[in-house]
Amino acid sequence: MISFLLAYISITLFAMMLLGIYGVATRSNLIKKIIMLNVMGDAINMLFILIGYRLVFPVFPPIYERHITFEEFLNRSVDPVPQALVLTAVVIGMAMNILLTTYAIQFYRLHGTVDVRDMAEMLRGDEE
Amino acid sequence: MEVGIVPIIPLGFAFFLPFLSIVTGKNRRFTITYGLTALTAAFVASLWLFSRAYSSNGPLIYAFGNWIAPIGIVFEVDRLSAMLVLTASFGFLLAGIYSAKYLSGWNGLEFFYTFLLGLEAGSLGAFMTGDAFNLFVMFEVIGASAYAIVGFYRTRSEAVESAFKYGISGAVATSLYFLALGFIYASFGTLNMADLSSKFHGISFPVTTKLFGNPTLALAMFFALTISMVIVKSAIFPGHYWLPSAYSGAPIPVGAVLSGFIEGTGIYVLARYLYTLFHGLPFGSTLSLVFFTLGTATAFLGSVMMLVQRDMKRLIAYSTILHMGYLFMVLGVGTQLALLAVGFHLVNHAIAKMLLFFTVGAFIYRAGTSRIEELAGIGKAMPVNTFLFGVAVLSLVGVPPLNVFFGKMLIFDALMQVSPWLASVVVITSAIAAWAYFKAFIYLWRGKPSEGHGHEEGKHWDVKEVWTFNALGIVLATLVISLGLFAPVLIDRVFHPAAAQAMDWQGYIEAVKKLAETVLR
Repeated sequence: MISFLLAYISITLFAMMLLGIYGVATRSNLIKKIIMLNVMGDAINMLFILIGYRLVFPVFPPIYERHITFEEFLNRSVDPVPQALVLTAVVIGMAMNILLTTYAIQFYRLHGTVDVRDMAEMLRGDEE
Repeated sequence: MEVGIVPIIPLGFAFFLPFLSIVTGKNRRFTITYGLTALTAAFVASLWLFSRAYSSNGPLIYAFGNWIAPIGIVFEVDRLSAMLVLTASFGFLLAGIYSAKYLSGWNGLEFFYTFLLGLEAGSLGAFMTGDAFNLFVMFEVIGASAYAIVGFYRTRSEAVESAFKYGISGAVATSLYFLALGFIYASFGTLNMADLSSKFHGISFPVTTKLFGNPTLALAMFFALTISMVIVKSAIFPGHYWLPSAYSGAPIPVGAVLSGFIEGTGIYVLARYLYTLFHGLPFGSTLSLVFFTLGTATAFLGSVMMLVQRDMKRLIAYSTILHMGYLFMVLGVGTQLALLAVGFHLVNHAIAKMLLFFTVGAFIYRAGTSRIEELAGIGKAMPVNTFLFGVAVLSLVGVPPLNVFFGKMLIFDALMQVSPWLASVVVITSAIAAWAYFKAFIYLWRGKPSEGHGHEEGKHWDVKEVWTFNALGIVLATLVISLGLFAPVLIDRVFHPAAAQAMDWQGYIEAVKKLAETVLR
């Protein structure tokens, strides 16, 4: 049952990641592009956290307590390293978001729109 | 002094620059002095690192916080890294001096220097690191600084658009590399490079556990995703679309460092993974096919697109794509000669390309435009600069006594080991590129100044040389010529030991293991 759930979640997350890449490539609105980038990034982060999960019951948090033996702790605790790595990636992702949103705002100030297609149409209109 | 401090110097200086700039009331002279001090300090430190790496037998190790290898993050600097670090810090120093003059009419210089130092910290870190996850962080440091600095002309629509395009493609690419790390961590249980290599070769390593699942499948996924990251970051054929607009939107010195070093980090990373860590992959021949196909496509695309460009900056951008194509192709060969060619060409292409960018930047600085037709005839008004431009062009085309010729020759030799057809790609694309450069040079030297540009009456350009740019150009041109003249000696003394050490995975693992064992005991 739990391995089925794990496979189900992984496949969903992979689909989400591919959806994110598709969205970044096809949307013409810059804000939608940024949102789809976040969809993709979060799917990858979730996948990374799943790596640290253990297919046993019960699973312990990665904090050593006295009432369990060390062997049991090693076999049953969640791997904390992926969580640490994801924490780093989340912080970096936030910085990227801020930077890209700044560019979207600057784009809006210059063209009065955040849509690449609208801008192209307006430029064509100016030439005629 | 410790090894790990080299990328910390620009990073630390970059961190305090915006605050100090506010305190000093946005004083331009202070910003420039501060920025150049930081760049000089990083250059001196990397000179020291270079001499240390070449005088020691094994790679140099620095463990952050004294945490040993599989637990903490280590820097592992061998001769190849030290050589690239030295070239990069030299290039960034020159770019810093150049920008002080080039951007003298623009506000926001403190942010420019902050991001330039950030770029330097990221690329030096990527060359030095011994940890696959730390490499991801360094790529993001490079990325954040590069996306910000490409949009430096924030009131120009082209700069903002290209920076957004670069930013979003780069962010997707680095996310894919993060996923690649997930696959490799799930199977190998570690992200330390030496530990990964020892697991791959079946050598025991302290602290970490055994393999899990199917390591070959995990490595296949890892390489597929890492190559797709490098395709975007280093502008290889399907992922090259952001590069021409980013270079034409960015200030000239930024284009010079992006072209020389930031694109090179992607190639370096693949070389490190393929030649040092995982040498002798079970699916190596499939990967080679990918490298040859995409590299050839990139080289042809770059050279053919150079022919139709009407903008000087875009011409150089496609030339960069062409050279990245060569480097990507030669990665697929898999011998020590190929690694030697990669190292030599990375260094020499960076120097020659910086000279080209700097001389073209001088024309653009005086003329205020980068279109080739509008620049027609400016060469006669700036003869020294045109001469330096000619040196750069001849070098990049591959004329014998200059440095890039030897890089192309090594690439040709390496590709000959696989097939003469593949090697002929280098000759054909170089010939096409030579024609494009020749056309641009003729326009600059013999062309008539265009009408309606304020020169109707005399039909000549009323501009002077820019001596700051010329001085930097002469330094680089001397390097181009002397690296070319002494190339056989340098290959023997500097580049060959670097390639030999980078191929020696046992030495790479031993150096980290020895440190771990001394600490554990």
